[in-house]
Amino acid sequence: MFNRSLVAQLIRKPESAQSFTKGDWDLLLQQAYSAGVLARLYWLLERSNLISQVPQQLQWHFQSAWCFAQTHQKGVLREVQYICQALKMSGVAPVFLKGAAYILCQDDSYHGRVFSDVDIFVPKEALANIEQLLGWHGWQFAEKDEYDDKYYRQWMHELPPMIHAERGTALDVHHNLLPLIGRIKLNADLLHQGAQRISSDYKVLAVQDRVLHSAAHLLLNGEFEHGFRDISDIYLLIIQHQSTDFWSQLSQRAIELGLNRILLYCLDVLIDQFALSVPAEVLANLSQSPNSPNARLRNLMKFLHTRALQPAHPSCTDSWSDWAVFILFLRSHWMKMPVSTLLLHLTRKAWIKPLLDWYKSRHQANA
Amino acid sequence: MSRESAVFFRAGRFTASLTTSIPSVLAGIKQLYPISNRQDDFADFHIALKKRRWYSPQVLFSLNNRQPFSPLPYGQALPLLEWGLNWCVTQHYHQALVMHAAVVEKAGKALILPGSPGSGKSTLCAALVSAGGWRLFSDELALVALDTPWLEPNPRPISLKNRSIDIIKEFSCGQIFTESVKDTLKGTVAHMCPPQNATSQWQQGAEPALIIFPKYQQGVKSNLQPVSAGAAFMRLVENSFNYHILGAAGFRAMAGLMDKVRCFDYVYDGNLEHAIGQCDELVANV
Repeated sequence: MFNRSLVAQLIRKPESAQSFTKGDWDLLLQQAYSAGVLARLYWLLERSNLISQVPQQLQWHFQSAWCFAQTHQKGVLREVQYICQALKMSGVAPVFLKGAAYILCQDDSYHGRVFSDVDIFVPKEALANIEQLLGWHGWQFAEKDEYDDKYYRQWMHELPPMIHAERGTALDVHHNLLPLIGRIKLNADLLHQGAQRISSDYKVLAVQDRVLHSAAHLLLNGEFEHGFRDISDIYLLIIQHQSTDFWSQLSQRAIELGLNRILLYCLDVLIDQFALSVPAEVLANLSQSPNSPNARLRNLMKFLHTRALQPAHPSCTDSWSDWAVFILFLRSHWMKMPVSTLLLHLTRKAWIKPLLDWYKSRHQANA
Repeated sequence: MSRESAVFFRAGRFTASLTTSIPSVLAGIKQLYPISNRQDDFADFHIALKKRRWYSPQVLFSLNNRQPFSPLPYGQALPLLEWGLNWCVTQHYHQALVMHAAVVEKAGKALILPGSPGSGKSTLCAALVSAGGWRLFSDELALVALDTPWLEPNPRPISLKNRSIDIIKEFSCGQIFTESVKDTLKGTVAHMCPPQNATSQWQQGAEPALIIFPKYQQGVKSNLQPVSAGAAFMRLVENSFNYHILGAAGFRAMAGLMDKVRCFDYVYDGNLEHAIGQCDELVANV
């Protein structure tokens, strides 16, 4: 079974590096590459003065990954400046989400973290204005497909992905954190009310909301390629901020936003993978709140999630892993939209889009 | 299905563990690398090459269970391994400034041959190491140390394309070549085994002395023109894989390199003997 996840062991207890054998290091390196957490491990080992434990021959892997992550993060900070500059005229301070927020808050989860795009969250009523301002400053929609445009604007929680024409950087503009037509509906106003202004130009979500957003994004979007990295983000975020107040506020907030079920599933995984100690009353509170799963469903979800959120390496998977990812992928679509919409959407993606693409390519070839 | 066992080998200054059952790859690496089955050592890169599909079969490269490339036709498995190993270095190694260039050494002085595909850089490099008495550092990647202007060897098989395969086979003596693979993205490809003096001294670096930008042109008179340090600097930035990642350290490494070398544009007509003579003459005078 997958109890050989050395990356999880090291994230939880960096001291365990002291007892690693040669074979452990060799396996750890592979798992860390698969999971995309080499630079994170560098930081954890460096912080505990344990980097010298890494065998000489393998040190460069950790150092190079760290070097790459440092440069990447400088780029993200520059991008944050550009975005704020562009939005200044709107009078709206954007709320930065996920990776960019980890950096701006200096959360422990930011060290060595690399991510592909920057996400901002703005009030829906300011969206038209913001879209226009971003356009003036060089951001364009990556794809100009009418259907996709409608899909994003009517059903989803964000604009179609944007790319900056000169820098090629990606930006997602959110007006909610979960799809508008999904089974869980979030009150965006509540999230904005809780957001913290940490500079004159921008805000971030409150720490409880950062945890809940990361959990919801990870467990509901159906992509688990970086599942382990993302669940370890949440682990680091929680252990950095945990206090009695934090826990009670977190469970209260989850219930208030309708994310109690998601939080419960997420905590079940964290307990299993990182032996996170969660106060009993928090678990009791979450499992007794309205709409909470029964014990059997909860166990099933734990079975699926713990498999889907392992590093993508054979030493961390079992014969159920691929099935778990597939079932959770189906579930994510079930959660994202009503069945009728889903059927229309899949028909469109599976049949009409390829036909249109084929027609367009013919047309272009003839022109 | 029985589990394939991994073979372990040194590829330049890095070590690789390869899991595959593809016969052309197993035969190829036996020619190109000293193979061992020992499992007690670390590998920098854990690679697997897998056959997929029974109709028009393909080969899939993975590093640590992730697949960075689209699959290629099955017959191109060995070239894919070589390209993949280069990718492993350029994608992950930032302990040195990594540039797209061949590097060879004579009398402790290193010659860097940057060049775009088709410039004849690999051909010239293969000629210099197989018949000119130069030591091979790399035919693809120049590794410039960050703290001091110093070149690190990464002696790997030399990749030859199209006509240069036969030219080098004829020109060199006693070298080992893999079987040619036709119809790859780069045309016909074969690999020349790195000479023994190169692999045995992979830890022995050298000071940079010369940068020559080769340009193969049929029917012209060979012509050597000095290039200013500033112009060469900019061209090498374009040829580097991680200059932008290294930031200030990359700039310092590049500037340190420029302080040490003389730079030339070299148009050559394919007369390899003459080219070796010119390189010898240049290196003797720096």
